[in-house]
Amino acid sequence: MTTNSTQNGGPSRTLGRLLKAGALGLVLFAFGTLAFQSGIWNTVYSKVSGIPDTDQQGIEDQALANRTAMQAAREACLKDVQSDPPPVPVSADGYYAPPAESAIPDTPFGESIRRGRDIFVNTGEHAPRFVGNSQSCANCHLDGGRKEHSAPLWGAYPLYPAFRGKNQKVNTFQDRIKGCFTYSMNAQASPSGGPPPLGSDVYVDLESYAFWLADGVPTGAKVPGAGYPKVAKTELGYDYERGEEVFTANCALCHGDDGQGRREADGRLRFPPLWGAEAYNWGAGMSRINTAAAFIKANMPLSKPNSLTDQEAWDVAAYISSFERPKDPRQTGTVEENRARYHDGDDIYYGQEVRGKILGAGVSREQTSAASAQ
Amino acid sequence: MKRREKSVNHIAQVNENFEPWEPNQPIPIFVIALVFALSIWGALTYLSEFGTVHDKTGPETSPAAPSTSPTTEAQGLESASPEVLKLVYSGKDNMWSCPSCHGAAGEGSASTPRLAGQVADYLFKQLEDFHNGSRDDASMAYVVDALRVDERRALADYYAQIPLPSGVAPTLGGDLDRGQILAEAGDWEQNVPACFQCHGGNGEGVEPSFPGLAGQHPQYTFVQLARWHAGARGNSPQALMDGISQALTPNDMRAVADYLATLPLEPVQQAH
Repeated sequence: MTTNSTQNGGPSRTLGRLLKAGALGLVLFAFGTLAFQSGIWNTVYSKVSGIPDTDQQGIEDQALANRTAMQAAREACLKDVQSDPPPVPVSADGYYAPPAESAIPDTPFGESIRRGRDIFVNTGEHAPRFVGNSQSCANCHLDGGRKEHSAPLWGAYPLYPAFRGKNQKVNTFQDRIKGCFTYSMNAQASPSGGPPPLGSDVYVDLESYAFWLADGVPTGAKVPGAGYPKVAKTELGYDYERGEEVFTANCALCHGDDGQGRREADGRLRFPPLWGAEAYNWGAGMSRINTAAAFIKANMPLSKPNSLTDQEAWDVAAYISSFERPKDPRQTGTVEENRARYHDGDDIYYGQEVRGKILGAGVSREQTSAASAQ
Repeated sequence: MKRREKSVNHIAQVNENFEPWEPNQPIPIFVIALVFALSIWGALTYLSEFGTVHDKTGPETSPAAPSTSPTTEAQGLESASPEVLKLVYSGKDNMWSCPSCHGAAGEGSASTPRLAGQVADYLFKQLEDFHNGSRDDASMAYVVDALRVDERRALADYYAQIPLPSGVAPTLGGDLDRGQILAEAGDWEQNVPACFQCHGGNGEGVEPSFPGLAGQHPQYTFVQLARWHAGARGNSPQALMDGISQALTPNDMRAVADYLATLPLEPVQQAH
């Protein structure tokens, strides 16, 4: 009978079907697992859900792996000169990846690196004798001198010694940092009355920190992300009056309407002043409008790099540079002579009339406290 | 007899060719595939989203039971005019009072924020934003709409002047090491500055715009980050926190919310 034969074949068919379904399930499971582990899953998931696919650990591991590969290649090169030269360690975004802070060695050299880092991040606290304003290195070199397009230390260190037009001589890295103290930290107003003398521990420690951050960048190489990316000149040029609006909308939240930043009553600095006696002086690179525009465009406001247009960056840089700040320490004669000698052709209001006053005479802490006492 | 006849009749009616079993209709293979795919998706999503919470290093701690009650630890609970104190503790008309949700000393709980010692101008701005709708919260809008602007100012000032030690601990199982990195150094690859860059060197807040983070309930901090992340809170000046939160993963948000809850709350001397 036909029915009978169907019933007899039943169990084996069911079994076969189950096996097939099981195998299919296994195949699908394997496929799914592979898709998940290959990262496709995360990519699609982040696209669909809108949750960014930032496997942070992965990015850090990648940078770390690149650094390990460099070390391995260095060893290999020592054994066999024909082997591939060490690669420059880079992070996921392609920029040079400095070593992780946790990798600072526990050696006397490591101690120097740590001191250098502390000076860099909080200069007023760790090198108080040589700071004549309320600035720290890390104010303009973000993330402790690590961030690309923020004049990172790893971009600068391999480029010294170098001839500099600013002082018409070959500068060592120490000479260069001495310049930072002279101009950006306004060391003339510091307790010691000037920058640390060459050979000072302050330079040694800063140099250790910079060397350690740059370990992996070939000497002499200008690598992507070094310095501040230039902002193209705009048709309108720059105008401090237009810049005031940009400042109020984007900068005043932290730097204050008066540009004086914020310092708590207990002396702790929260946001750095941009002009006045506590700011960098007229000799600092940042007092040039083009330099300030480049820094601002690539880095400000924090967390929103490149959110300003070129025009806004030029205008707001002009606004910040349109106020008095400590005098140029190189000035011996008049402001006009100093402008001709050191600022000729620069994008700077130094020696020019702004709001009915010639800028450049400088402002000191004594003047500011006298004015506020009145 | 009749019965038998009937059954006989029925037998006669049986169709010999009738197949009692439904013909085999195989389920289309793509449906099976879909079921499997969905269950795999579900399982993996569960594992990646929730499983990690329990594996990560952060200890599953519950808030340390405060040895003393917030009301005895807090100072300045009476430093306001009788009108303001009445507003605080009795509410206006039939409106709920502040302590009914935020605790007797403004200590908050879970996703209800701590108010004690918060930056005054920040608190005032939040009340204004609830009122004008730029910060979306039905309960707070309901309460705030009953207040005059001077009353809102007075309430903000009242809570800002209450010093109260931190009474919170991590609760979200976040990775505290990662949280510390985010709070102290940031993650500049993602354009995330350190929390402390703007919220004070110890997360104590900076007048007038940056609220204190130390001592805040981790659930509240996490929920706010998640709301910015999802575009549900829109009153951060210059949309700064929107962008920062969007750059954070859910694990990062847990990590930083939990880390901030480990910080002691140092008294701040605000500049005047």
